[in-house]
Amino acid sequence: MRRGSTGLNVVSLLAMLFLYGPIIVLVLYSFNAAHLSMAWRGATLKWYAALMHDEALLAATANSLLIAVVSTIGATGLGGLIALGMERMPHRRQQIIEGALVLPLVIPEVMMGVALMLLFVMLNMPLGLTTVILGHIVFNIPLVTIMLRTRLRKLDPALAEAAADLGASSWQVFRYVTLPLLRPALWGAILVAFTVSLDDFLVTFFTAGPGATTLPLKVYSMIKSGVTPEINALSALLLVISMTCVALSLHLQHREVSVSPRLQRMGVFFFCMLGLAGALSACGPAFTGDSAESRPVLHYFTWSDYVGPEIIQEFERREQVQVVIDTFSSNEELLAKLQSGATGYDVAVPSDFMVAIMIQQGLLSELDQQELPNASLLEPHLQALHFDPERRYSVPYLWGTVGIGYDSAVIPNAPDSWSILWDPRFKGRISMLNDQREVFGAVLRSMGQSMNSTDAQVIEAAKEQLLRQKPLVKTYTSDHYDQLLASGEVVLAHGWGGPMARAMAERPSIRYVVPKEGATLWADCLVVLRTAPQKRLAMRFINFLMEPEVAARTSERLRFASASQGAREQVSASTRDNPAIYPPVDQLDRLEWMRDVGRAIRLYDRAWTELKMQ
Amino acid sequence: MAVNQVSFDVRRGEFFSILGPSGAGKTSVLRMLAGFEDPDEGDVLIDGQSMLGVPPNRRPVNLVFQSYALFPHLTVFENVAFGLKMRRVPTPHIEEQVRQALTMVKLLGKEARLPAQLSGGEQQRVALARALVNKPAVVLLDEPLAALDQQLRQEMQVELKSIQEQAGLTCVCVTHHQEEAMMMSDRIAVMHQGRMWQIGPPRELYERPCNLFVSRFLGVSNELPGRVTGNLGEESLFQPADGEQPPLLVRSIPGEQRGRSATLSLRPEQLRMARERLPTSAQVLPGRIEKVLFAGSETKYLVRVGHDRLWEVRMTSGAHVLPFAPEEPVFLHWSLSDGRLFFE
Amino acid sequence: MGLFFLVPLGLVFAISFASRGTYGGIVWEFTPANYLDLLHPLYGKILGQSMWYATVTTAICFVLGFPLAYVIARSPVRWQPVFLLLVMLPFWTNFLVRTYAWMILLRHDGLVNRFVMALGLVDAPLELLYTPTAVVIGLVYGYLPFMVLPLYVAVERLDPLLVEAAWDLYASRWAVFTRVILPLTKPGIVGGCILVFIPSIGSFITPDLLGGARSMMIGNLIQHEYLVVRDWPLGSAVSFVLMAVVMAAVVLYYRSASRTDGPLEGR
Repeated sequence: MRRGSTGLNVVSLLAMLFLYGPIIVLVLYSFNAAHLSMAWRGATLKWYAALMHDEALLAATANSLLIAVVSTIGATGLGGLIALGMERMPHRRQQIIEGALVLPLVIPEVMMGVALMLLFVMLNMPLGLTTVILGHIVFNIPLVTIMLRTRLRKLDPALAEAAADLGASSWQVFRYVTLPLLRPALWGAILVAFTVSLDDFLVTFFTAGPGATTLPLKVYSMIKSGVTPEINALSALLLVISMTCVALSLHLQHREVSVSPRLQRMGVFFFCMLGLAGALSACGPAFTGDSAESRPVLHYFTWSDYVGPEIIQEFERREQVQVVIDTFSSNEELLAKLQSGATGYDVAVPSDFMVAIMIQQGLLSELDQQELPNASLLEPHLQALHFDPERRYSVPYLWGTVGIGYDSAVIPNAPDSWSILWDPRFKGRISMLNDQREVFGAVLRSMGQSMNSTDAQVIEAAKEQLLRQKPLVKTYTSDHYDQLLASGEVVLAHGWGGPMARAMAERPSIRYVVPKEGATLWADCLVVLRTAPQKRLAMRFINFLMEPEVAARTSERLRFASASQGAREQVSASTRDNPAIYPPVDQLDRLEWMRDVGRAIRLYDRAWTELKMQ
Repeated sequence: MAVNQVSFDVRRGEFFSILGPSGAGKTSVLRMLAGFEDPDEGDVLIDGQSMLGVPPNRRPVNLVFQSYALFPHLTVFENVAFGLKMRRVPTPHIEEQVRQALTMVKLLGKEARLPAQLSGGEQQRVALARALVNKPAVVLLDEPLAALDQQLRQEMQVELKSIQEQAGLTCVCVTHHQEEAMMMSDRIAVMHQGRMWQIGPPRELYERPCNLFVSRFLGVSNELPGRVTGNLGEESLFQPADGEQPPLLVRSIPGEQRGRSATLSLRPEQLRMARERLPTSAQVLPGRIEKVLFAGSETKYLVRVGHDRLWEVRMTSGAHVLPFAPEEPVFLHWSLSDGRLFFE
Repeated sequence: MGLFFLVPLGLVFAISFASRGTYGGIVWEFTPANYLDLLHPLYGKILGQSMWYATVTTAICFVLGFPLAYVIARSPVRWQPVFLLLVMLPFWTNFLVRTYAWMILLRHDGLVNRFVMALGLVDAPLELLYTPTAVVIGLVYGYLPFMVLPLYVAVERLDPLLVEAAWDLYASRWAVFTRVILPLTKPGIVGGCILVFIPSIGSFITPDLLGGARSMMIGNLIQHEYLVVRDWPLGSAVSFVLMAVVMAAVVLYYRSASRTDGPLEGR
């Protein structure tokens, strides 16, 4: 080793350790038997097994592969044409195009996603697999073009001339000289495009429609609904796969010239198989297996943690149909998707205040009560809700409250007021929802105000309260407070009941309370969209979900109270008596529905931003 | 405009060189022959066929590139076979012909190598074999030896020439290296500023250049400006501009030249140097040795003639018992027939 | 192609001058109100803070990345692709998942705390997660490869003889670094810095997950406006401001890169 490089080597080693530490931990924990907490509870392969049986996950993987392969081929083709075409242009034009190519790389990705979505809406293209693929092609083209151009500029122009001189037509020059010389760069570009496409979240998020859920979207929603070690297992698998892919392509790339054609053909073959596999499974049983006559498909658009696979399977068997599930993680996301022209969804599950908006926006289809006998057997207080008193558009499905989860081992005296969240003794051990309306709602109730206040002064006062609280708050999160509670990271968490019930299962000392000042009452409702292609099937699906026995199972599994009155009788006592799942009936009078506040949203918005920036 | 008013014929089996300094337009001519560029006016005929508008891949010519332009991803064999493959020659024939070509350039046994694994000389041979395997009507050579070092270059000159003769190839070679051109060519065209100044066999060009440029470009030209002052029939009187010199005798050129300015030019080897004026010769100039440059078999002398001219004289080393030394006054003699006059 | 890049951008630009409907959506009336709203010092503060995070991240990436790039570029040629692959590999894992891995490490009872406590460096667990430090760690982790790659290319092109020549001419190590290596690798350094700076300033997942959403970066603001509040006009306006900042940075890059191009390109 050259003199004087010891220091450098040490820093490099540290940098590598820094890069690999988290990855190694991730892989290790994918074998951890514990569910939510970080403590090591022995090695297991069960998460990998669970992975293999998660149909939604497999479908997402298939989508991802299909999208990645098709968009890679498209982007490589188009990008290649652009790169080759640019070679023949005057220098000035080349510079302009180069500038245009850099643009998508420097603009924020969110903007790219929104811009593309708007474009598709403008072009009247229904959001779906096609739009996702187009979106991926768009952001991959610059990458491919830039990589190929770097290589093309290094090529000796005499080589093409030599080939022409030796009798090659321009096609032959390309086929036998330019292409082989470009091959290493081409493989590199394909690899990058493939990986970027496989990993993309934001552009996919905005351009995806029914049946186009990809792996990153799925991972995102899995994380939203609480991290499970399944994700660790999935990442470990993906890591191994991408490691192999990268190593293979690097191997090809650095052999530069003497790549055996057999290996290359293998690469191409492998690549095509991936795409084919993706295509086959993405298109589902329409192409594989038994179905000579294709089965009707129902598109169900629901919350990321709202699906019980075995329940869906039961419906599929019973009705001889296929149910494709796509998920969202907030009401706003659902609305944005539908407003931007995503059609093809049949049944969706908006929350109460969003049902009101959707009715006003004319997004919903009237329900056919004749088809919904089970939908009339509701809990009494859910029978006539303010936003749809006659249940013309919606059927309440699951409901619950927002409250405080706490660790009774640390706080033995059950708190009964929101004020516990302002107790300096628990500084740094409190988590709040990362949701401006819920956080303000809690404060407004504790101030004796409505949580739907549109009074600027009241909101301002609430903000002052929250600013006082902020030093005590460890984190604002809507996703993994169950995990934080279960691991003891926080002892007080503001959040929905269901995740609290999940935390209880991990850490029995966790309790849930709805403060005496009052809190949010919410209900997620089943609706049929105006644009639904399968309206009759949608009715049957809703009726199925509301069957007391099915609803009870749903409630047990998801740890949320069912709106079906029959379900309350069928669930286990532990579920029924858990206040985090089934809110005690005597609480009802101090609960309040969240409503849309119209233009006052800007007040909340500004106050929320100020709170964050303090 | 790179090339202007260029016209020449190449005979079958001839080695024809286009010689000129860089920027003279040689490569443009070659590229027009190969078909990479089209002349704005005029035509290129091969075997009497017009090549106007015929793309490179349909022309019966093959080019050996200056950088060789060997395909880095193909082996020696595949490189040489490329042209045959493009023309869809049946595989057994390809093998046979490539083998022949490689034998000719002495590369048999290295078929499986990649260009990067070859030496510069070997790469040159592959480039050559790749062109001649197609049996083109004309082989075009673009500075074929420029990338080689001195020693290899001299070897390859001989070899290239013998391959050409052996295969009966018609070659058009572009070079800026006059010695190389003279050694290999049957005829040379001297190009400068986009024009061809003189076309002819090397010896003719060397000995009877048509102008000062050609003279200077083909070798050392010792020059003396002056004026023709009288005509004595077969001979003329030439008065050097320096003034102090008596007039010199030069061979007359047809036509009335009296009073015209001209430059007398002499090759180094045409000069004889002596310590005293030889009475037999009227073509003599006095001078003083400025530098003696010993170069092995030969010794170069730089001799100051008149006020500001340095002439180069070459003499076989050891020809003089007493070698000339710097600062020595000498007399330079030449025969009447060697001195050439160039008018302005 | 222009259709796919420029038309959408034009749309967003147009929207940034519209206003929000009562239920989200867009009301097409021309108004500069969104940009005027951004004059509020609050947004200046967000932009400033984002730039500060991005700058610190870039600096740390450089300090870590330069030795790494240097060592790789000076290792045997055969091994260089392997090392580069090793640097790139973590990048091929899902970003969210990588961020979660850091949460596991930085938690109260996380491995980092256990490690430093086992070593006896501290007796109480450190507050690591949900701090600005965690955000910076996450950003550095996410974008370090972006720094290493251009630096590697620059160092690889640097003739080692130049370093030895400087050493020979009595330069101290530090002087060799500042007077010879730094100027000669400047295009790579600037390139790497830009590549780290751009995604850092626009990031939103890292501050949310590792910073505990206690603070906002401009990426979070955009996300919030687009996805939570559905105030697309304001979100578009913020996006354009961010784009302007990023573009300015890129122009700066091209300027300084072209200034140093001469001597390097000459080689």
